[in-house]
Amino acid sequence: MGGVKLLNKTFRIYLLCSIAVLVIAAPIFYFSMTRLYIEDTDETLLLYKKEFQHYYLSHFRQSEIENWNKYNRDIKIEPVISSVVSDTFFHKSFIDSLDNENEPYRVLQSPVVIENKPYLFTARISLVESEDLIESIAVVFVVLIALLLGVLVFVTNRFSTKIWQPFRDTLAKLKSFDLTAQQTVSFDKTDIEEFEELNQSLQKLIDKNISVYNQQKTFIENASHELQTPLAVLKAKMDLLLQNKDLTNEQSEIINAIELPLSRVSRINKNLLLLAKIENSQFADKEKIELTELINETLELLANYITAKQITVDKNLSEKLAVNCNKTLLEILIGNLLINAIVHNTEKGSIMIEFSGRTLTVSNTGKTALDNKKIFERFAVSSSETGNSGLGLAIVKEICNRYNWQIQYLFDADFHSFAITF
Amino acid sequence: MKILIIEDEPELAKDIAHYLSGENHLCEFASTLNQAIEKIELYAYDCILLDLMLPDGNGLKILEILKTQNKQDGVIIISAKNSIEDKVAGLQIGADDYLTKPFHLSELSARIHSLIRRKQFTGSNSIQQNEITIDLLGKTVKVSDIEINLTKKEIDLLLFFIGNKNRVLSKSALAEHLSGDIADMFDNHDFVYAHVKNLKKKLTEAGYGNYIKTIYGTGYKWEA
Repeated sequence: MGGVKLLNKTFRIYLLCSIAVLVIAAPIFYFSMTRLYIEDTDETLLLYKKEFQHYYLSHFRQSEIENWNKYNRDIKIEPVISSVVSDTFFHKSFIDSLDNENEPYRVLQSPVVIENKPYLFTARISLVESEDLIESIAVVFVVLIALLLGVLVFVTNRFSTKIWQPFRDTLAKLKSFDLTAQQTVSFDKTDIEEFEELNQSLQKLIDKNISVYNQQKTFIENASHELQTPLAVLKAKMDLLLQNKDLTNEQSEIINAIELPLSRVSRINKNLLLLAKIENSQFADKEKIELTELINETLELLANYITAKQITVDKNLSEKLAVNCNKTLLEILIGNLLINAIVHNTEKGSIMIEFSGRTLTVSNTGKTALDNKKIFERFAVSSSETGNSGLGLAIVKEICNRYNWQIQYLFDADFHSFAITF
Repeated sequence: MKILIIEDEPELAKDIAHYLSGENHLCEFASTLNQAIEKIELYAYDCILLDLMLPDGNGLKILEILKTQNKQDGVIIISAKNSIEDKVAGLQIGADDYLTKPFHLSELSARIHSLIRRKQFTGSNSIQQNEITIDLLGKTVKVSDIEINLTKKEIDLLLFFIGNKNRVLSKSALAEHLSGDIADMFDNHDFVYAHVKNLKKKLTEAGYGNYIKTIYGTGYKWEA
């Protein structure tokens, strides 16, 4: 089967979803982180200002400004250049004289009055470079994805086998289920609701199928049985009618013409009954049967028909082949194959019967290949065309199925061949 | 000969009786198991035709009764059930023959003949018909004391004709008799023609009268 395993499929979906969620979440995460960080920085800057106001401003002198600025890198008192009336926050880059690199800073400017002269209080805090932040977030996310998937793989592998076991049991039972075997399926109880529901539905479906199948079989068997008696009366009446001394030639011909379809009906009926019986698993007892002997006996029975059609029979049965099965069924199987080879043969044609290993091949002269798919179906070839019941090969197939024998049809060089491997 | 026909299909019973009537047979009927039991307890029959599926029970019971009462009636089972189990069971309990429905009346008649012949076995088991003598044990046929060489099939055919004297036999009936159940599977029974022709030829060459007549379009008839 070329499909994808359910587990792999869910796993793939999980993978895609996690990646999508993380990709969407990353920028959101990044922006909120930056915001939080800036807010925090701003608060710290304000604190610096408050501290300055609280501890120094009241006794700060203008003469001290130069010294203050000399020893404070981040908080400076500057003369007013532009008019700043309230606390103002902004970003600004400063050259770091050590690294000679532009570093981003958050700056707070606030107006202060020192000895009645307005000054600008400027405090700054270096911000972590945003690239660094993205990098760390990415690293954290990749680690998260890896961790998540790792856990997922571990869990699926570890527990899926156990969780899906009832499903696999059910599947195995369905696979081995054979409607014709007359055996219902019983599924093991499972505590997983979905599987239990599946099992129950399947159980219902199978039971229903078995019952329909049985009804149909019984119907066929009963119908054929019911037909036997009227057919017997009909046949007897025909025999009596034949005795009539005043029959004209025309009437005789009509009677003769009735005999043919009548015997076809009785043949179809007989075969239907036989099929029903085989399907009903009758013919249970087994014995060891020598195939060569059986073939010779059957040929003996058919001798009249073989001679009448001037058919040559080539036998190559040197090897011994013994089959362990029901005798009646094997007789029917061989009979049907040989009858088939006679009925569908050409005038002065030939039949070849041979063994090779455990394979019996019966071939006969023919003109056109038959449809390999339909050949073993019931009534695949209409009885009016061939005069056959249309059930002979269906019966052969049914018997082969019963014993798991392989049957193959081949058309090669104007020969129909049926090969059965016992 | 007294024959009891145990069969619940009245038409079939009637037809069997009708076909057998010309042969000096006396036919009686029973359509239920109880009727049949009454009859076999009161009378003896040369041959009983027994349908197994009767409205009030399985016909095999008749065989059991005959066996326990040690009666010698010959029994031919005529059944719609073509199952080996029934056949084997029937023959084991004491039936002499088994014929599956539908059958040709001629086949039934031949079987009755053969059964009665076996029952009346007197040591020299031979049949005399006109100038012909058939030794059933030695499987030899003599025409006016001269042995003629007939194949097994031809002797079989001859017996079938004699078992159905003055009856028209269809080709399919002859084919079924010669090839058994397998004949059912064929439409063309032309081989019968060859066998009848050979038999006729051998009999005429031995100086036997031409009793086998060809009936236009239908089959053959032994006129005795």
